[in-house]
Amino acid sequence: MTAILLIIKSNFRNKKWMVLLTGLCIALAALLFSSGLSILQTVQKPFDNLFNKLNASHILMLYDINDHNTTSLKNWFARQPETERVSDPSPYFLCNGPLVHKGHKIEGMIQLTEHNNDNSIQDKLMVIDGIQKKSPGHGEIWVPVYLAINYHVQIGDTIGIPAPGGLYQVIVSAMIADPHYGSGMVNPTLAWVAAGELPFFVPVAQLSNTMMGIRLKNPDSTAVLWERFTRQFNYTGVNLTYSLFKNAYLGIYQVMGNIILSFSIIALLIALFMVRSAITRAVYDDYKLTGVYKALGFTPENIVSLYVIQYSIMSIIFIPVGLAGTYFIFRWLMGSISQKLGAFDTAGFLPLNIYYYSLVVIAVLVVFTAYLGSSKPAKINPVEAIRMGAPVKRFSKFLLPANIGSSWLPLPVMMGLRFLSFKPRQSLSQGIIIILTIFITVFSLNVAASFGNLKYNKPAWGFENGDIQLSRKDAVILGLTHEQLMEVLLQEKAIQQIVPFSYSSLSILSKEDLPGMEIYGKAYADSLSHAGLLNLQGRHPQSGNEISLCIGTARQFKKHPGENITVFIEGQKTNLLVTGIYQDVSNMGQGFRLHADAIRKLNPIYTPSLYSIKLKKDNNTEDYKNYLLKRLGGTITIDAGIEDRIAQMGIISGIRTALFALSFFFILIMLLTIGSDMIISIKANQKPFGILKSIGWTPGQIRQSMVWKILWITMVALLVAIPPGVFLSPVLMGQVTGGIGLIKFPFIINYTGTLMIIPITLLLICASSWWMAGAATAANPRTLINS
Amino acid sequence: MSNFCIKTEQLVKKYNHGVFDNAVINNVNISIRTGDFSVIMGNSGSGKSTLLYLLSGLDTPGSGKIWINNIPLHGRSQKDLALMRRKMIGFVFQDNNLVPNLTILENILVAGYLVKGDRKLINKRAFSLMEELGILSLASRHPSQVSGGELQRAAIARAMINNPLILLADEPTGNLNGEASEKVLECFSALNRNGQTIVMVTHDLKAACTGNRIIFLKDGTIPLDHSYNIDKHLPGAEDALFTWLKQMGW
Repeated sequence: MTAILLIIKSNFRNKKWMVLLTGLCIALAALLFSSGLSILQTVQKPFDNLFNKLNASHILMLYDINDHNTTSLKNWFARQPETERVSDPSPYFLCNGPLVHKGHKIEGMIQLTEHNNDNSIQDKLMVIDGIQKKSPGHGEIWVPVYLAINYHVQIGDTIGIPAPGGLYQVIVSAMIADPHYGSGMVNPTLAWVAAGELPFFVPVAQLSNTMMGIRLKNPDSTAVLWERFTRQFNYTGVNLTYSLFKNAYLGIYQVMGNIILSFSIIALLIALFMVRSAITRAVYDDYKLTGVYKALGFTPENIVSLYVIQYSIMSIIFIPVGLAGTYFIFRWLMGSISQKLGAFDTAGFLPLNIYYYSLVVIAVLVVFTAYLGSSKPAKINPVEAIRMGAPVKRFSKFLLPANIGSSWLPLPVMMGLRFLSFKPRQSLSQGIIIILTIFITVFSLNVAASFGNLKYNKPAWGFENGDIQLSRKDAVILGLTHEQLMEVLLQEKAIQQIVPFSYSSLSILSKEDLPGMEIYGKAYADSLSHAGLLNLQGRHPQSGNEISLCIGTARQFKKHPGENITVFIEGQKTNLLVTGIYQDVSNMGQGFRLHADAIRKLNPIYTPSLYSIKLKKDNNTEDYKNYLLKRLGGTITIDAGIEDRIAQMGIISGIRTALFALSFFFILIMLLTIGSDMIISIKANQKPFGILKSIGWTPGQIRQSMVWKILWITMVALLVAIPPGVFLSPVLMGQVTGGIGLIKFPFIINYTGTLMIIPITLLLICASSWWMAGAATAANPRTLINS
Repeated sequence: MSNFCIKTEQLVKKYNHGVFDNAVINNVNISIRTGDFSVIMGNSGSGKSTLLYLLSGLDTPGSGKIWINNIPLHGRSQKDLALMRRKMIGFVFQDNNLVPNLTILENILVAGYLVKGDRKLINKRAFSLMEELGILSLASRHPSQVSGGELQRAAIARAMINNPLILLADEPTGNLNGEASEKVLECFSALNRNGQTIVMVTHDLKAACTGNRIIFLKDGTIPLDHSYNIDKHLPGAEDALFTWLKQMGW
């Protein structure tokens, strides 16, 4: 064993650059692989932890106390076997305008909720910053951490609440973690005030809304319980459940995890390819020595174990380097999630098992590749090796350019072509790695652009194409009815299209052996086409007997356009015809779209409360929002657009960072492979370089010929990789985002960026290979020829 | 057979050259006694090195048998041959074939550590061999930092580290100048004086005179009269050998 270790030591010394480059490639593959796994496996832990720690409710019911009797609701839920506890109701007030902080608006709808004594038992809040006390005091407000961070709100700051009587000033006394609304992805966002505080600035008549939570013994029983509830109660309020809150936090991280894990497999294959190439090269370089080792008494098994141990040592050294990188990425990611959750303590979530798993999987693959690669040297005939050295490698017969004499290309450019055509397999493998890197860069750039341009492509994401979403406030004494508001809006010259709609929920009754499921959707009081909505299959519902289903719901219940579906809506069982299937990112692929007639026929007093407004061209959206608020006052609120909410949550910047990091790592891997290839080429071509120098080639020309070899490969790779990068990226993303409801990824091509990849790649490869080719010119011709 | 540490019987080695086989070694029967310093000579392409590689078990015969210390080499697996080699055979090549990135000492120990044993004893033996061969001061140097003759002596030390039964040397002075050759040959003589069995292939008459028996290989065969005993103490031994070789067709 010591003899083998001595040889390995010699190999490490002799090929330190190859060892370093191959090792770094293994490290990067380990980094990507373990990062992807960590994200997918552990992303939900901080959420679940916080959810349980704060004894959060799995169902939140928001309703008007004029419509429902709280005591009977509470008693009913308390009696159910699935229920662990039912909270006391908390009154809330939905602000009819944005909060004002230091003269700036805080975008998004804010639901001010009273914090009562029961919140110390269920739906507790964790004070992250500020005074640690049970409840906000009089004149104080508690805001979620994400809101405080995004709007630079600090403890002691004053916030103006748009109350019917003007701005009501409260002081921020705490920043809190709230597993229900803390993500900012659930609209509205909750802020908390003291019990009994709301009547100070909201007329009591407007305080009819209340929120009640139900904590279950098992979150999986939500659907069964809710179905039973809707059979007995004609519930008209809103209900939000555990899966919605969870997905609001984690859906996008799962997409990121899937992308990283998928590409990490490519990185791993490249690393294994590098291991294989390094061994193949070592076999050739050490051919004679291997014969000598055998003459000394090394058995074929000893030769195999020489490589196996060498790469085991490299795995032990370099995989932890990659895993250390994962540690920092993971800390950053968990920090980002925790920031949204408002909980900063992530130390308990380090996925050590994933580190062990990654270490074992990658080490086994590397060592196995080394084992396969070492079968060749183990079979070397010692006599031939000692007496004749390595067999002469056959060069390709297909040489470029075919006739140097008639070529117009400059000498180094031509020699670059010759170098690449000498060993076409080596050039091909180099090309494949460059192609993959360019593909991933094109993919990352355009996917990031697609997220960034969401606001210009909303229907493809499942949203209405309106510029403004307006909420009509029903419970206001001097409010507007739907008809009144429509009359006002229809007179507005700046408006091109108004589509009234409302959020709705229904239970899909499945076969007897399966529980029903509560899903959320929208009912439109106009043609869905006017809202710009799109379908993947079929058409929009046009009457009260029709429904279109979101892709996840359709798949779960195996429904296709033309089939019927039995649902429980507005407390009544009804049969609807499925007319279409659509995609929607907002609720993990679950949902439905109805024509408002479907609800009206079951509930004649139903009226829509939301309005998607598309403005005519040349109208400034922000100016028009202000104008509407001024004109309609407290009768409406203007909701933050989905694009604002996503941007606010840092989702676009998060995805951009993840994708750019992915590209960066692949570019690094590509440069490492180019580096290793350059070392191999320089070693292999020492003699030709020496000869070229001796006949008058300058060091610069030799360098140029090496650079041109890589540049020729890169030019071909650019041609080969960019078109599939553009066309296959949406297909790949569709696979990854299918789980969150986007099977057809709304892909927008960033033409300028994609074209810029060409000069940047050429420049990067030119610069790096020029630098690395310096080694070819370092030695003097005599040494080169002798070697 | 017990006095012979190497014995071959009807040894044949053929190389296939497309349409016909070329017998490099053809029915060779040799016996080498323990403590002999045998020198294999012959014209270029006569099969000297091939015979040496066959005797070491590095190459396998097409037919025929080889015994080393009464243990048959024929019919053994590559692994068994390797295990036998590390304990029973030391090999010195024309090129020293030292591992370039190991020091002289490490190069010697690489072979020593292959055999299970007390590390301290192996280290001690390595130093003792280096001292004996006059290269002790070079222990921590790398091959690129020492001369050809010194490298070859280091290669001898490496070959001797496991106290092999037989030391095989393939043109050990072929790449050396006169002075370096002499030193290397002196090392072989000294080892042989201490009872080491040596089989050396050489072209060099002077080197051949270091041995005590010449085996002349002609076209892959050794006729019965193609063996010559050298009496080193007689004046003109080198001339006598030359004459004999001429008669053999050298």
